Amino acid sequence: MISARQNLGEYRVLKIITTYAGLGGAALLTIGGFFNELSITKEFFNNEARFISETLQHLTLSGIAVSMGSVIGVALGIIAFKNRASEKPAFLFVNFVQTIPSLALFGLLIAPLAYFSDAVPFLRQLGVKGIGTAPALIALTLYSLLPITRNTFTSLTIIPRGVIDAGLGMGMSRRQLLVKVQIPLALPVVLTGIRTSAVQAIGNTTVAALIGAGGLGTFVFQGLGQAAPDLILLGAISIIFIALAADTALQALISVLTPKGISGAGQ
Amino acid sequence: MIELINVSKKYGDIFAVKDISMTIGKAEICVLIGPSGCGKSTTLKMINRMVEPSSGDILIDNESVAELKPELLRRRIGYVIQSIGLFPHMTVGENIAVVPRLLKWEKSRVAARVDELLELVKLDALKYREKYPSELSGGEAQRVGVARALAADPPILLMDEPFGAVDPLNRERLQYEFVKIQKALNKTVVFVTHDIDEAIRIADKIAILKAGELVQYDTPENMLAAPVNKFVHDFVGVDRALKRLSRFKVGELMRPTTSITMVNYSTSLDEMRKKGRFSWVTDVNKRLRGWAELTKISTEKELNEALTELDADLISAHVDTSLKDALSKMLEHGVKTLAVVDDDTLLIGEIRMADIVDFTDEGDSS
Ligand SMILES: Nc1ncnc2c1ncn2[C@@H]1O[C@H](COP(=O)(O)OP(=O)(O)OP(=O)(O)O)[C@@H](O)[C@H]1O
Ligand SMILES: [Mg+2]
Repeated sequence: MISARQNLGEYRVLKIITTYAGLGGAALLTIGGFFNELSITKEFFNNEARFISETLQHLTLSGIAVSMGSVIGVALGIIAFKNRASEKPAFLFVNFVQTIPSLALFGLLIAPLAYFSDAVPFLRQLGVKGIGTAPALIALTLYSLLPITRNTFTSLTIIPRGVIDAGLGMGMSRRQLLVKVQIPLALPVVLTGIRTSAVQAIGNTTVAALIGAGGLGTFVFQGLGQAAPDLILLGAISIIFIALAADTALQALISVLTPKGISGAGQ
Repeated sequence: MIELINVSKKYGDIFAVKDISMTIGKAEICVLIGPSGCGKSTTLKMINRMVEPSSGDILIDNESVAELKPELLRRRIGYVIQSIGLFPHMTVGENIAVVPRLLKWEKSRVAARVDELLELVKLDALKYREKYPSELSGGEAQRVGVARALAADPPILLMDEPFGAVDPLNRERLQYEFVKIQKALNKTVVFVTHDIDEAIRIADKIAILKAGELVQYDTPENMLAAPVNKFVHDFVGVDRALKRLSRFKVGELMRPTTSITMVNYSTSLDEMRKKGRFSWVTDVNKRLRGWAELTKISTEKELNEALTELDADLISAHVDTSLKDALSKMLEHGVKTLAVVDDDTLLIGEIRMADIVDFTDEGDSS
């Protein structure tokens, strides 16, 4: 029984990987030709060391932002579910954040952070400044909240009351109910929210370059400034690939973690 | 044994359950019935502390449930909730195994128990064990719900409209199967329904609730014979006399009877003529063959002519048939008497329409 389910999970992962590998391969071939013509390859080799460090910076920024967003978003979702009074304000907040244009949010954070940095020496020692990594991380985290909060809340509301009552009625403790029932049922939906946030964060991190946080956006904006299209493409295409890879990996994870009995539910 | 002592449950200012006291005997099926919102589910849930009473006490075998840890209490009480509530991410087998696993049974014991329970509720273990709840029909899911409640062999079962989602035909079958299972396993059952026919079919005792209050708590026979007030009277329905008949078996009103055997009849013929015009006719093995008009018989040849040979099924009722079914058979075939047979279709007596009618009148006057 268990092996049958594992096989199914593996099968689904394999299917996704082959699909994307095919797509990616085709894309690579096309872009490969493109690369040569526009001498992106040359740009790449010129900037190899910087390319690697900015890619890492890009991954770090979006990775940390989505991680923090997941912790806060899941917590907000649970609070909104447990305490109906907090549902409205919580969603008002995350929805509002989502409507602020990213550049504006980065800009809005500069002044208060600069103030705190001046006022609190400890923060300054940590490297918190009006520009740079700190405002970027805060803004990116705030952006990632909506899909995660919304999906966490939804994942909990779609678990039928009867299922919870049955669990408690059979003598499960709150903890057992959480581990055996609520988490397995909610996880795929929550992860779907995290997946949306991750793809979104990888894109938004591009803009973070404008406030000195680095990342692949540096190439894009440098390219824009110097009217160098190959530099723009080097940044943009890399970002697209990272987003695609993250999307694929998370989708694979979701497939594996979705219990067979509820396949397709809540997605 | 379960005792409810002046139990009340208030939501805000409104009583969902008001001052209920009743005792449910060991190995009895007690059915809680009443209109929607009368407090049936609330009463049930207070027994396993899914709901805490506002006042009063509930004892199980003389021990107050309030003093037990809810989790431990609940693992000793099987619970079938109103909406079934199977876990959608677990197979049928895993659903049934939940409580045994909570109790940390050994793997092999759990697996054996799962198969045993599936057989008990008449689902093929091999076919159903690995299915997911989404692949079950409503009736199958309810059977699994019942199996799951029975998993750890709890002495007490709480069942909230467990057959609500089943069509009337299968529902009746499930009810009979359930009563059989209950009698075999000796469970104390508290069963919620708002179907009076279901209650009459399965109950040892019926508790009728109205707006949170216990109106009458009695055996189905007594309740049908003597409803305490107009509410109960209306609730049990205008056909209560007939319903009451369904609670009694032919065996209880059966009279001894005489019969002639197809081969060796002449010996007692004269004597029998004095008793009546007709006699049952059996073969040498005492198996019912038909009936004969005695006045016409004096020789064996005449018997063969006078014998109305009939399918035993048409003129007889099994000793365990309900009086209601026996009566409808009489009306259906236009006869006033049925032969009564045992499991081997051997003639053991007869049942008369007049006796059934007298019996109904008795019930009404009491
Ligand atoms: N958690 C609750 N909060 C407030 N009122 C409640 C709650 N649970 C039940 N009630 C009320 O208590 C009364 C009894 O409810 P209960 O669920 O016991 O009814 P029931 O007899 O099981 O009805 P049904 O046949 O519809 O299942 C109803 O009026 C209901 O609205
Ligand atoms: Mg109810």
